[in-house]
Amino acid sequence: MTTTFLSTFLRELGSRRNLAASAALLFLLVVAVLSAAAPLLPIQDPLAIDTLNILSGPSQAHWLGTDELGRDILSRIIHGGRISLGVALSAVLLAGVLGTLLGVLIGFCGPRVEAVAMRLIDVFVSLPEIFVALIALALLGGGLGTLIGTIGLIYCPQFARVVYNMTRSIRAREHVLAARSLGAGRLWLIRHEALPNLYSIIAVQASVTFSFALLMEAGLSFLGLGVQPPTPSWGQMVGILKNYIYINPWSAVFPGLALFFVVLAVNLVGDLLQDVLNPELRK
Amino acid sequence: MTAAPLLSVRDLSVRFGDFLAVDGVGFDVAPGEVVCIVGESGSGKSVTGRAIMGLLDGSVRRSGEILLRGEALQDASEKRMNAVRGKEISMIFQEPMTALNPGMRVGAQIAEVLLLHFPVTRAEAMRRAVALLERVGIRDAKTRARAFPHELSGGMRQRVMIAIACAADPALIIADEPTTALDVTVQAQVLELLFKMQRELGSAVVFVTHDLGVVAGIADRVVVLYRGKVVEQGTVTEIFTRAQHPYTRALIAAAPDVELPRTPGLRFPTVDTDAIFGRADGAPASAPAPSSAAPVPAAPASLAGTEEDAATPALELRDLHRTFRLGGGLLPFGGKSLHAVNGVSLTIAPGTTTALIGESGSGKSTLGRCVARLDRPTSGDILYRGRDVVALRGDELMAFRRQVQTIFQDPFASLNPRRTVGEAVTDGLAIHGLAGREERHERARALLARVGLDPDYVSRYPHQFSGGQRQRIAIARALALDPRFIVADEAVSALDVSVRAQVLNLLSDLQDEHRLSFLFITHDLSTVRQFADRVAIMRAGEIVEDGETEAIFTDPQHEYTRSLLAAVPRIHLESAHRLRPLPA
Amino acid sequence: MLRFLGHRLSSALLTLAIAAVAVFLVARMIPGDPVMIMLGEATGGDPAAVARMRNELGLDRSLFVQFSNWAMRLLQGDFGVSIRSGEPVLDDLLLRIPRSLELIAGGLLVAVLLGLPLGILSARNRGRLSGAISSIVSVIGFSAPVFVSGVILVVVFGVWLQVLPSSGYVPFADDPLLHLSCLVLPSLAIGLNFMGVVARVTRASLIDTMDNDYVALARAKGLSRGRAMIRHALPNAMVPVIAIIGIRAGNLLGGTVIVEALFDWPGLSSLLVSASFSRDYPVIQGSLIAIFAIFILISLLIDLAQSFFDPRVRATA
Repeated sequence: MTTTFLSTFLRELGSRRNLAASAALLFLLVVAVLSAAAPLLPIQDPLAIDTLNILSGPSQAHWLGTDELGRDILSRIIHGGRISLGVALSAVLLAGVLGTLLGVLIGFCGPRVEAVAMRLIDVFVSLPEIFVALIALALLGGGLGTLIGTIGLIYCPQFARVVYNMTRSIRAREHVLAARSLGAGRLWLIRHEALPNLYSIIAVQASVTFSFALLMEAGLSFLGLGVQPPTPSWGQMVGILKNYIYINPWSAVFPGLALFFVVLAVNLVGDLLQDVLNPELRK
Repeated sequence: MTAAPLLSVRDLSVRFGDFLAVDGVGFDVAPGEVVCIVGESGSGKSVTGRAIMGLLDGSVRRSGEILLRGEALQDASEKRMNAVRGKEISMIFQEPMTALNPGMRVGAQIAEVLLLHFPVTRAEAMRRAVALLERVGIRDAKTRARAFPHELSGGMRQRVMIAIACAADPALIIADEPTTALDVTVQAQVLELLFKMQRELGSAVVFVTHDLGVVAGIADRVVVLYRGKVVEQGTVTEIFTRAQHPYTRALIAAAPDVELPRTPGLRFPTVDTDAIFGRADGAPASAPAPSSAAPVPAAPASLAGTEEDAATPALELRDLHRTFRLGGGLLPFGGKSLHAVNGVSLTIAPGTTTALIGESGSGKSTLGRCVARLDRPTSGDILYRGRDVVALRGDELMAFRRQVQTIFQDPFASLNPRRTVGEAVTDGLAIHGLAGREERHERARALLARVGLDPDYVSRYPHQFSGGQRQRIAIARALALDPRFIVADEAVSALDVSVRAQVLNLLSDLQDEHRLSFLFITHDLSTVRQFADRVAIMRAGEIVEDGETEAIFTDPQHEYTRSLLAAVPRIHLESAHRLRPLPA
Repeated sequence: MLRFLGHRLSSALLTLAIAAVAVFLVARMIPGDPVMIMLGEATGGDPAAVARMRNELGLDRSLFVQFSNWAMRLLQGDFGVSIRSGEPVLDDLLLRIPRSLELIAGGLLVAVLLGLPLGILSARNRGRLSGAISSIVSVIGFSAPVFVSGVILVVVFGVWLQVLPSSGYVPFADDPLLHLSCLVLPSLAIGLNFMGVVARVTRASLIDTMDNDYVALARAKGLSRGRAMIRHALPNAMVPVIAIIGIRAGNLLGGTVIVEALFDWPGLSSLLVSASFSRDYPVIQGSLIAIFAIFILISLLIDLAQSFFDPRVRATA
């Protein structure tokens, strides 16, 4: 038996049963380092146009071929990852911080505010996300800031609801009643009784939201509403290159695969987080 | 025993990974005989029951022999086992809430057994299912057969379970704590029904339980388990009148005895398993002897105008009501309402214990929460030392918080898993700003020592302790602010008898030392006769009777009190309400 | 049951009404004055003309009056006229709604037909190779974005094997067979991702349900492990599965946005996307309301399905 969620997670990560998850985490680390260091890497300029060499297949000079303007696809995938992961990460941070705050506060602010606030949140959660994003971006125009804000705000209510549900169940536990009976105020209850018991579910929800945010950014960019050219992003590359699928089918597949592997890795790590969390919940 | 045994369990062991849950258990069951397997939590009694049925899957390893009329079930094919289960051996589970399929009508759940084991049509099976429902005492069986489990009460669900278990006329019924989750009056009815059916069918019963009172009423023979091993077995008379093993003797001595007249100053007999079996590894030990000299300095708490005054009651309730609205959503009208507490008046004198007794849904916990100001009454007055509790604000409320503490039922839920024991115990001091970090640490050590735990445990987390130890920690936490009044809400109900006695002894010591008043909320009549000065019986939100403890136990006035008292299992064979004749 | 239906239906209508208000407000928040856009550069400078136009359109009235007028017209089936094409919006919507529904139904079919058995297999054979493989397949499906699996499907079946049309739409009346073969790849693209969701929830829910005493009771009655699972665990395990289908119905609907763009499928979502690029507000409003209506319809069906599997849901109307 261990005391914390994190230590259980790390121990599980080391066990042979969870080989896939530890490989996935390693892969994510590599991707993160590559993306962060993209401008420093000895790779081709992702924006350098070569009109004589468009839509070529994999070759010595261009390992994954070139796109419709002759730009190196590998380099654009690495730089695109920087954008895609950066947008998703920022959106998760926004959704997580705001959602946690909302969820915990709603859980501790009395039945009336609670009922009204949760009704509202339920309405937001039930809206089909991509349509909301689509309209918001169509109205507000592009820009990375708008994109991050939109995606973050879209996943904020979901985050808030998960945190709220957990808060509500914690609130009814006897240790919270015991603290109230000792005279603890709201702030004490939130800081000492609720939050420490919420970290694990926040971690799980963050991993879920991260993969949703990645997919959302990719979907919007695929439609041409997200990251605007010439800045590359994985979804946007697929969106453009799919038009040349009969000339060079690979070019659209590669950025798609990059996205797929990252989402897969995030989900594998998230699954392990969830497995570690669940026996905890059952206890 | 001359007849060939119906069931013979030989050297049964069950291993979950590294944990040996059952360790070389062996016993026989004769046809028509009732064998009780008795043990506290972790004794492996339930696992034994499921192992006989072959219902343990996955990573579980089972060894030993299970012979049914000489047939080796441990080697039987899955197909053969499916023919045995339900037909030869059937099973009754503990939780009537979760043991019936929530998505299936109860009639169909009974008919299923018949369809599996007899060549009958669906219509015929349904007809027999309705007949079975009638036999287990369910009125209007034809309609009830079409009900879903959630539409029935707990007692009715357990009757349905009995109908399922008896449907195929089995030679053996394994009952796994079948009445533990039920109220005492319902328990009595369900037991009566089970053994009426048992007599009619002539089945043998293996009855798994922790409750020696139940055992005294039903067993032919008893098998006592401790940590997966058989400690002792014998006829019910042997076990109850001349037990050989010190553990069995201690267990029987510690079982709450509702017939023992109140004897002030009497200690509850405890079961010292460490002395009998040696220290179990892993679990932290309790400190050798709770040193009553351990200094627990009084926190400077006084509620203005409420100085100690023997004439003023510690607590006075006047016509208290608490009504919950069910459904109706946001609107302030519509929906049904539930009168959890319906006009309760009660007075508790300083330094005394009043037991509030009620079955599930009686409103006793709601009442306790109102007293501790964890819930607000709909109307009526709560006077703590003459002050209106509901109206308290600011500093006065904080003073009240110091003086009135609550101890809860579930020792697993009542401690924050993310805070160390030391933090938990001194949270009150931190909240009230009564002590600095260093001083809190010292106080935590003193408090742990006072409740009989090693002071060095301050930096451990709750999950490293057993249920009884956690309940001591919860008591230490309540003591930290030097309270005057404690609401104990089923504070010992979740504990094994051996541990329960220790906690009750601790509570009475503390009462003497600190002149505490207790509101002791429980469903269990048998523990309170020794523990409480006064008893109040609550039903459906109202107090039907209250008075001096002995008066209530010897001369109950209200019909309901009488039925409650009658339903409590007796632990002496001579006075036990035997549901079957004592074996010769 | 009737009470339950009435309750769900009325709350569905309420949601639709809220959605209509939201759509109306969104249209008012659009930057740029619609009058200016309609009048164009030339007459836009004339204050008198602008005022006249405002009066004609009712834009000088209070927001509430504007809304009630708009809502009244909606109720009479008047969704306005497309700014771009000049055609009534409703005609286009009625043409496209069935096409989108077709995609959703196809995707759901793929998801349930593949996802359920996959989930059951991986729950039943937990700890064995076949269980592990089914789990891997479902996490792969779950992780593959709709347009990635879509592109791969097109490359494999459309470009290399050339057995299925890789894009386009043919009305059923013109050529039923071609119509259906056009539907295959888009349905797969939407459904494969959703299959992962269904399989994962089925697995988790089934494993949870198997731990219940009533499954143990079923086996104690003499049912085999497999039959206890199918008869007792599975129906109860379906409740969370259906719930998740309901919660993720938005994703299914959202999937049509990508798939319609990828396969040139002339449905509602592609109408919405092209309208938002050209800021054709009446079309945006109309298609949003149609999409919400579909979404609410799906939720309603989910509720009904759930009450079928869980009698307790019916009781809590």
